[in-house]
Amino acid sequence: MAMESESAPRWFLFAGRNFSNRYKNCSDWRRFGPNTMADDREVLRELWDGRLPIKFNLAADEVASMEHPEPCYLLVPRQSYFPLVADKVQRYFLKYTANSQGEEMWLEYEGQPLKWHYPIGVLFDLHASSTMLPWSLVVHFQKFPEDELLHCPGKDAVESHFMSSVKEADTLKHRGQVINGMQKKDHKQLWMGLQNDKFDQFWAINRRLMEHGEENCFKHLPFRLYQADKPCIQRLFRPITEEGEQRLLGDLVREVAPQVFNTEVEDTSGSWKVVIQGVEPPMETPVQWLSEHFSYPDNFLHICLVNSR
Amino acid sequence: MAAGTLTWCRFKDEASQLLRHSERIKDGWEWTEVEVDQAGGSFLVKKDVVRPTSERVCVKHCVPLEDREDEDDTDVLDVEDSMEEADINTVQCEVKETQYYRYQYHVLYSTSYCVPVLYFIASRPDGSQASLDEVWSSVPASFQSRLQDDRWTFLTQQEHPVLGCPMFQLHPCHTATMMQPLMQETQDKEMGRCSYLVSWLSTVGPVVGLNLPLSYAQVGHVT
Repeated sequence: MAMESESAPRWFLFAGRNFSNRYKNCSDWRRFGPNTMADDREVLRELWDGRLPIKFNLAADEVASMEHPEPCYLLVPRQSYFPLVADKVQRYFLKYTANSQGEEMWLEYEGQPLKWHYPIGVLFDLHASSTMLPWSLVVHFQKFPEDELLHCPGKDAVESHFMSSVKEADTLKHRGQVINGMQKKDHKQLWMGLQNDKFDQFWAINRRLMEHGEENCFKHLPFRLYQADKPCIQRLFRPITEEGEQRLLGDLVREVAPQVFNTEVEDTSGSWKVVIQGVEPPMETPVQWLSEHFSYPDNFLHICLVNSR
Repeated sequence: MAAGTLTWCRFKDEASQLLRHSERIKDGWEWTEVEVDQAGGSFLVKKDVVRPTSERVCVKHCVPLEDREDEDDTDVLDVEDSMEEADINTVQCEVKETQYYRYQYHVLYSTSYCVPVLYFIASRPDGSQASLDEVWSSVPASFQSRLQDDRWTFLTQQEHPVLGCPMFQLHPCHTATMMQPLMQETQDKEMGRCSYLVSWLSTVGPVVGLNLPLSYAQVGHVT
């Protein structure tokens, strides 16, 4: 695949719309030409529309009814959060469990409790990127793992968490000037756009958070890097060098997770994949571009380091 | 640095000063290093702070009947008739029992906001984690009424940025705004440099039961 030669070469490759085949392995690409406004916006739309088919099963030891419930299937947005999409699942399974009072539902994948405050796409990329679809999850109502999971008292908690991520991201990008300069109704519109899956409503406000004004980049890059069984990593990282050159994904990974490139040491754990939004962007991709186009609605670039063994 | 913020270096320096004073007065603060050399990778910890958190109404066996000064004999007879023989000498009554929870506080540095952030957990007597509602109920009433509108943005459960475990957090987004006039005031009055950390902690700590003895006021005081 030839590189488009420009002063700042830009690749943007992402899995196509037909997720059911293409998300099976993250290396399925469709390449667009040199970036134009239309192409860039199409990237945003493609990512927004990304869906994951999920199969929910009630934990076998929590079934209190004579009849074992059938699994529940849902197509969920990668950009959303489980508490926003799993009401039906909760209502459906609750009646098969022992008559408990207001116990909080939690989800598990192969023994791993799933953190509701991570976007769904991040959870899949981090824990299950090589699994066959539909993604099979276990639903629990008992023995809430308090040492690992935050409680989710309701949708207000999701909104609060989401908005606090948006604010933190803007603090990193613009010293908080853009988000603090908005009215409460704008903040609400961001949240409602996400909750109701309204791309235009969301991006009407979000595009202001993606502007970089007089400088040609953000002050710092809002990103979080995840590895299974480790706390997530967040550091200050400037998108351009002091000489004004674009910093690339490879630069970021080298700085924050050098083991990915450490081929000198005999690494028995296998090689690593760097996955963002379900795909592996080339290491030559400028991080500024990734931040503007591959961030989740909370304005963070969520990067998953996945062992490819 | 933007007004009301502090650098990682200053945070570390002031943490050392706070720790020295804590050691002197046996106040129990410790320094925990997890990611050495990383800004924000080390933090202050104070464990085993026991405080009353909620009042619970429970049923208890109280003073035996014959020991009670009860002037109304008919009432006593009625109670006796309805009780089993084994319980004849006791009465069940409702009492309010104060629950003592064990708090652990962490003071971290936020590289995003360039301010300190307070995290804490509260454990019930049986070792289980207290809920957000229980924690809210222990916030002094005067703060509760003022913070009620911003409740969801002010005190929430979050992942500890270094350890990854669930803890409650006092949200840092307003800290700089709160601290800026305070720091400006001390500078204007030529009071010399005072400890940002102590000023901040003595302001936000009491909301969640962390009180700093007055002697901390002298910490870091350089004229």
